[in-house]
Amino acid sequence: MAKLDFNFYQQHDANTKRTKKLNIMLPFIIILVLAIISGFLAVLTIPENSSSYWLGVQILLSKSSYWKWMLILFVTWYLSIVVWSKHILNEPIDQFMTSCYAEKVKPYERHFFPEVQTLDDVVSELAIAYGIKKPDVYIAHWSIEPNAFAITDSNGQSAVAITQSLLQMLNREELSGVIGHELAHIKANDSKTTLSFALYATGLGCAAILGLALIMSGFKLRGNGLVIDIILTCLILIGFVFLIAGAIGDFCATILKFAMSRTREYDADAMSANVNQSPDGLISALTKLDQWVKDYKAGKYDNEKYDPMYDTKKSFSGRFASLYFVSNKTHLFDDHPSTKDRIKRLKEIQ
Amino acid sequence: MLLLIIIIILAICIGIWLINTYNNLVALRTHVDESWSQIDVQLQRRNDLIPNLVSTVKGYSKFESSTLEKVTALRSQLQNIPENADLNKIMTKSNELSNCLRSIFAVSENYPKLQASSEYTNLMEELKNTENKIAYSRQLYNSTVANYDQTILSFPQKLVANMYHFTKKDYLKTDEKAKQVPKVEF
Repeated sequence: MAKLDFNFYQQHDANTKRTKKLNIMLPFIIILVLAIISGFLAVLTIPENSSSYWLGVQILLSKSSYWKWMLILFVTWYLSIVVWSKHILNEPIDQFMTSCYAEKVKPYERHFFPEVQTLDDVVSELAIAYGIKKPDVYIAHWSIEPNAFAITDSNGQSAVAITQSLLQMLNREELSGVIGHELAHIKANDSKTTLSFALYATGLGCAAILGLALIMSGFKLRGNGLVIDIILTCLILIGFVFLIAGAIGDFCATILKFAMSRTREYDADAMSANVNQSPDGLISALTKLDQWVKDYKAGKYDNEKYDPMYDTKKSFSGRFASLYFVSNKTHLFDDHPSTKDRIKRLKEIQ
Repeated sequence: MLLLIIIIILAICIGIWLINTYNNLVALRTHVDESWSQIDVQLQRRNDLIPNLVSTVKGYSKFESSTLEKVTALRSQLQNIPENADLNKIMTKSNELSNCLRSIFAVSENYPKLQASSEYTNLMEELKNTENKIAYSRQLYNSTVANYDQTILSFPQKLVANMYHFTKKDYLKTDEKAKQVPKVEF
């Protein structure tokens, strides 16, 4: 991977190019999987030469039945993903925030709590800087873990949330860096991107499960007559194809999903440095987070209140663009790059 | 016959591309115009907040009386500029006002007793916020201009831009006085 030794714009551009590349790779994987499946289906439905499947594969590409199956499968699968995504993305933001134990900041609170005033001001300033509508601000009061996240709705409404713990920890410059990072996710519509990748991966996983179901039911229902046995054998073969192709596709799409998520995180860091005209705020905030994690692991916070957010966080991987992830190195299946890598990249911007 | 169909399809594709490019250029130019007028919104907001500042800081007026007088004078000058005046003129005057306010910041940082007053810190936060908003709206203007300029100078959008007279726009210049460190005198 080339050394990103650039100024603000070039790092952001490099990240955007990488995002586009990942966006293009996903359809290729899907088409590969569908090609394998439709290949076998077309072979099974050719009337002649059905005794020799290899010959069937050879004349496959010239047969219109292959492309017909490709088209049918692709359209069905794509439409089901679209319908499913519309259903999931319709969860309203305030419902989501309640499940994360975050409360909306009310207009009068800024007069009572100076840190709420600072937060509100920073969010409105940076919304102007990005040229987006000011998102709703939520604070999670009951969490000892410092974290922040931003989400967008399918209606275009957006919200940014921060925990009380993080708000106490940061000064204005660092807060500006962190909120800049979160608003960058809103500006780049990252909720939609990561969710769609997650859905494609899950869709392929469903194909694998469908294949498994076909195999098992095929074996169960045997012995009810010759015609039924022939049909069931075909279904079992189709089931194997779905299973293997779906499993491979799911694995590749999952890797792509996590790679995309990491790229978006790097890009949000670059955009935040861009908008604040300096990476220092965010570097200092990430360093503080690192220190907090070390303290937490050393047991400094064992007597504090229990964190109710801990269990809910894990189940929202599709929509949750949270600030950081606890790790020393970046692994293949991490959805955030490690804090050390992020600080390293940010320091290269000068 | 086939050639004719190919030519027609090609012409349709080029037509669609032309329409999309033109619409994109119009959208970018509209963003530039909008962000230019949004700067005025922020300047107006600061103008309206000045009386509050003056009345709060008057309590500590030993330190800043001359600066306060300057601030009040500039504000009334800004109020007297007619509505339809050139925004550049308004911005020049506003830059002078920024300079005055900056020196108030510098003075207040030297007096810890001032900082203990919550009303004062509250007001400082308001001022910081206002100045930041003005700065960010200027930054947004510059980045929309950069986007617009980049698009009209790139090939092949350049051809459409020249055809329909989309001209390059200028960035906001920093006031020379703002580049100097504010002098703290009292």
